[in-house]
Amino acid sequence: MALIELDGANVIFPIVREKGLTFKEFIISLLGGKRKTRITEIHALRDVSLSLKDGTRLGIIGHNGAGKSTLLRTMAGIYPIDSGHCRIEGHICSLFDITLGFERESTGWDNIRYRAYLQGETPQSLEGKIEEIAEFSELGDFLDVPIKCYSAGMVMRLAFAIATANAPEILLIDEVFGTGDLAFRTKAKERITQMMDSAKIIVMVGHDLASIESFCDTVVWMEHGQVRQIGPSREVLASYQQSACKYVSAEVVARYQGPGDFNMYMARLIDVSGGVQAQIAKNVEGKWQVLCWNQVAKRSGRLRFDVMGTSLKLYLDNVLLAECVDGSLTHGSVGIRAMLPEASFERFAARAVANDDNRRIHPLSGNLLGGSWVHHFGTFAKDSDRWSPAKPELTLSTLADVDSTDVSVSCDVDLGARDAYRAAA
Amino acid sequence: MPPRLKAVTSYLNDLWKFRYFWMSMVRVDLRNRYRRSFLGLGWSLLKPISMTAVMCVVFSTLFQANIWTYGPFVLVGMTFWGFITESVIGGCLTFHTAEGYIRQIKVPLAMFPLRVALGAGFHFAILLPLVVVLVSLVHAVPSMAALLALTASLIMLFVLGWSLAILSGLVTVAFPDMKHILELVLQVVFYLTPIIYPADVLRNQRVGDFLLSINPFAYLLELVRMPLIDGVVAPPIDYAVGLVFTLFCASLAMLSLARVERRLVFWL
Repeated sequence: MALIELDGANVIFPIVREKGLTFKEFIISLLGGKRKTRITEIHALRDVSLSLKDGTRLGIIGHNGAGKSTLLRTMAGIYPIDSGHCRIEGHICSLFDITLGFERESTGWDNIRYRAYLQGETPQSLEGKIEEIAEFSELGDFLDVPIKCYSAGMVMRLAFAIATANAPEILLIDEVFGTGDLAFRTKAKERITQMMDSAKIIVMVGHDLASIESFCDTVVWMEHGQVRQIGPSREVLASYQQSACKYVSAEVVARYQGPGDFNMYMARLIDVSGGVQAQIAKNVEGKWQVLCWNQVAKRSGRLRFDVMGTSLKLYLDNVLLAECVDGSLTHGSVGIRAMLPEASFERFAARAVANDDNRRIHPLSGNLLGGSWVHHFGTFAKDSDRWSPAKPELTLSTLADVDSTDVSVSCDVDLGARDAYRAAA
Repeated sequence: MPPRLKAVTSYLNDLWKFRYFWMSMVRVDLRNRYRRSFLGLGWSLLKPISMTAVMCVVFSTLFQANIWTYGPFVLVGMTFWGFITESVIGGCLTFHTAEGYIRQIKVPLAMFPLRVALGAGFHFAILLPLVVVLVSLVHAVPSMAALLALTASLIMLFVLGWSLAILSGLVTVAFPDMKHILELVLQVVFYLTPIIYPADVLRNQRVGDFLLSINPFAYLLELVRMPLIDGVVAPPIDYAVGLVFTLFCASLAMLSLARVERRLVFWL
């Protein structure tokens, strides 16, 4: 019987910030003075209460720095709690930082042994498994070579193969699908799925909401070290996605009087953090439309408009965000949050397609840019002004021969765009 | 069983569960150290031996010491001191080196200093037969009683080395400068301990005698040296002081570890 119980758990950790040693301080310290070392305390988890029993599949979501990984490490028993209670029972397999903790000078074979011993194996029990581990890692003759000669991906393979060699009671996963090549990732996913069948408790942290939704039945949403919401996956994920686009204000920042009755307004929406979330414009037909959607949302800057004849360009800190010709958007990014396997987006370009209410397909072409949050800087087709933000369905297909089931697109652009529409209208 | 004792035994039990891991780590350390080296393990033999040779030459010319008695005397001292320094200095960075493991898996942290002490003990152990052979040639084969007494001393010495490695490791995590300070301190203690000179040199002076009487390492050294060189069991006072000092260090190490072990991960 496996069990994870947190009751009012607080985790506080110290961050030592040493100021650079100046010459004056050096002399003072020579004379026996005190060197200034500032210790900042970070309250990483606040009053977290959770109770996981056999059969729980828990997903942890939240923004960066919300305490997701801290929570996972606390569950693994690595971080001690400052106050509250924490009870963990069951054999734990943790898949985080798994590329750390290798003896770099030793060969792959030796490292398999060391790691396995650390996971509680004995030379006898390892005897039968070591071949299987080696096979799963697909490293072949490289196993005879010191780890220091391995590429990051190879270390990852080895680490994953060892870590998952045993069927654990509690499986803790922290975004493992990050590295490794596509073939191995698929394999790793299969293995995780297998493990999920046998493990009694699974906790995974991830930004990949689609896989969280498919793997987990319960989701906890962390914010500032606190549990913001916990409940069935669908519910929590829905409110999480909604919260991702919250605006506190919308303001009209420009008005463009074109020839004839062409009249254009531009507005911007400012989110909770003060960053610019979206630029929207009222087009010829008097409808507001989203010109530009800044999913990253942490970016704010100076907006500038360039008006040339019937065209209008919108810049954010000299970066061209959107371009309108005769009221229709010809260039700009749309709010598509495409979650692609991290390793793959360097390898292929993707194309997004938006379906509007009338099932019309508007291809959005463009390249996917790096970063684990892929921001699609797509370009609308000429007729895209008809694109209604009311209920778009987004699909993403890849140009290269890649298993397209790996590509998922979240639909929060739908919510966001509609909200944006409302906020401004 | 009192709860304290129970905690200690369950901790040791935990430690034992990971034995294959830390034993492998000791092997790794030794292998890495002599990787691609021509003499390999020979180097660790050569270092104290060459030091002893230098000392013999210097002392026999300056003070007309007898090489045959002085040689084994210094070699035992150097071997002893080598173990102490290797434990203390090696202990300093042991938690930092193990960061990758500590961040991933909950393990009893004492096993990393243990790894250091075992490595140091290994070097000690390969020099020991050499000393025994040398002594047997020069003096006489040590008596059974002396060898038994020596075994007791060595066990005590090992516990001390482990405790010191734990302490130096913990202190260095909090104060990174500690490694350099400890190196300095050890250098001073080296000269204050009758390692390269006979204890009588100090005993003849008032200050020297005082320093000698408060230096626990001097007592511990006697515990190792007397059974080997003189073939007799060291006087009870040496055992008493050695034991008290070892127990003091061991309990200090245990208490500090119990206090900070879980939070150590935040300081790495």
